[in-house]
Amino acid sequence: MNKDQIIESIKQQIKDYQSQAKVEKVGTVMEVGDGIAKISGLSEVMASEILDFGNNVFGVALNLEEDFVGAIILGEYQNITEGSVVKSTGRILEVPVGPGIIGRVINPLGQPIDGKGEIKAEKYYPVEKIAPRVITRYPVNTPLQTGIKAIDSMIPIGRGQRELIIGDRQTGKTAIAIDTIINQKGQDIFCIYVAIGQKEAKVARIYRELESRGALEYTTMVVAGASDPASLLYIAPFAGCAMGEYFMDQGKDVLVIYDDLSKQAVAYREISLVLKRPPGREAYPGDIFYLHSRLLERAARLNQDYGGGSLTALPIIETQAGDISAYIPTNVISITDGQIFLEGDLFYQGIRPAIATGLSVSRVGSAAQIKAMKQVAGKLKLEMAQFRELAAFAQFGSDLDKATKLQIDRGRRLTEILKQGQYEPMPVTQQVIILYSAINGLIDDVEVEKVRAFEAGLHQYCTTNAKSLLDKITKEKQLTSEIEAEIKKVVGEYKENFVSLSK
Amino acid sequence: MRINTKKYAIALYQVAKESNATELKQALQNLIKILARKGLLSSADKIISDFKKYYNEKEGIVEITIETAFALSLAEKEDLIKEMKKNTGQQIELAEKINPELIGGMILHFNDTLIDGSLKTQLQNLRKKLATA
Repeated sequence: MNKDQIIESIKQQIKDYQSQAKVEKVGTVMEVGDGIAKISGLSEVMASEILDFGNNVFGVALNLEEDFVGAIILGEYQNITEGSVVKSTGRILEVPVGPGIIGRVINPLGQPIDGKGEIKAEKYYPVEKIAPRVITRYPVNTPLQTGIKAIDSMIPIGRGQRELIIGDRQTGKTAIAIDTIINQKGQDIFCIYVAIGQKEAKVARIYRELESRGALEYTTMVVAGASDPASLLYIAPFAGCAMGEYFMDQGKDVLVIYDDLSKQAVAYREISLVLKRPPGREAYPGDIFYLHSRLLERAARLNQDYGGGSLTALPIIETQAGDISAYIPTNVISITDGQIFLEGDLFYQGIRPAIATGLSVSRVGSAAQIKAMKQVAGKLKLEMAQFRELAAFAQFGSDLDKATKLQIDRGRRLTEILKQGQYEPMPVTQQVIILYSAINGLIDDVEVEKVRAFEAGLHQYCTTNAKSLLDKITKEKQLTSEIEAEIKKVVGEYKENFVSLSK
Repeated sequence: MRINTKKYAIALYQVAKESNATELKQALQNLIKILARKGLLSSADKIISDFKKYYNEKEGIVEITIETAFALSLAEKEDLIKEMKKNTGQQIELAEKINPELIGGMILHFNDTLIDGSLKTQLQNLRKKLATA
């Protein structure tokens, strides 16, 4: 196309342009400050409608009162003055969705913040959407493998489940979430990581980590940073959820991580207080429970008639000094289908991930475990529970009877095996082999200090010398007596190797 | 209950409606005394604007702000008032504003409605259309 043609086509477009006076509903700003504006006028505005403040600044109408409208301002509000004209747009707050957002870092309004150009939107989805109804749902029956032994065996997560990750600061909550994302590689699952009120440096670190591990190809990051206004923090999880719902409606599986909802609750408290809504317990507004329940209820497994997609939610809550009975933690615990509780003490003892197995549960996930894992997990949970009981005793005396000693020793080895480094997710077949060996006493004669080295070596050995065993477990999905015998044989072979090597 | 500025305006309107000139003068003086006692003199401006709004609403008067790039002639203004009267069926009060930034055309603003027929907005829309096409 040469320049004459371009000029010609522009001429044509200008000629065809129909000028038309638009009738709009407007209001004027009465008060502005703290990220909210009080607006008079706007007679026909809807709740949560987008308002145009001009200069590319938008807001959302939240409080519709007799004489004025209370709105949150999304973005900079320094240029808005008393008397500014506000236009209603007739649109409910919405975000761009579609394959164009994959691999991108965007803000809760769907604008790119990674400098990689505009987002190509397939469609727009409203940020607030009613959760899927009963008839569209299906029970959770497919596992979502986190690649973390302690979780996949004892606190399994299924697709469409809502599993809370809760713990003090610096106990590895985000690490579990990121490991889970990394483990979804090649599983045809889209991941959405919503960072709410996180330090930008942490977000940048996670971005690089995901990028270097090739996890960005199926991951979107929705970021409302610590310096963003409270209004953006408040809508961020809803925006992330809406983006996930698009893929769910296409029949895909989606994993959404909200990191973290306690900061969103604080942001919502701020907005509510400046909008003069009455404060309740811990100064949170009365509808703080509904805020989280309507968000997490949007996690679902749809049945085949509705495409069979799923949206799994992993909300994160940060506790203060391990207090899980504070207001927000108890609320979210009661909404979700179980929780993974991380303990600072365990973390400093070197048990990482620092999962408190006694306090962590998954209420629906076990239905989603593969049979082989179910077979080992039942016994594992029992062994660990008995170990915890006995370990308390063992601290006092040394003269224990033989059975007790055996139990404690095995518990120590299991604890070692459940330790796992960050960014080292493990396929479920390998998890089954090592856990089976441990609970059946196959590694009772390996020294506790050497268990981790043994485990690492065993996995190496399996992938090189016993590929057929791994394939068999993948295919059968359960432990037949034939497979059990083979595991025993392979572990025996490797042990001989290992013992002679370490001498 | 907190008495807001609108309530004072309504009260003032009702008093003004049923009293003569001397009574009204007395009422206004009383109102100012009340405001002074309550430390509300600073919101007098707001009461005045609320009163104006309420008065117009009750008396069926529509205040139209018209923003143009150039001053309108008397005939043009009369035409406009006549047309608006026909459309709204109410009394019209006209306020003018000159804004050279509009380039041409005009913006009508009454109640909560804005009719934007300015050349500036048209050009902006055209630009948006060309950029996305």
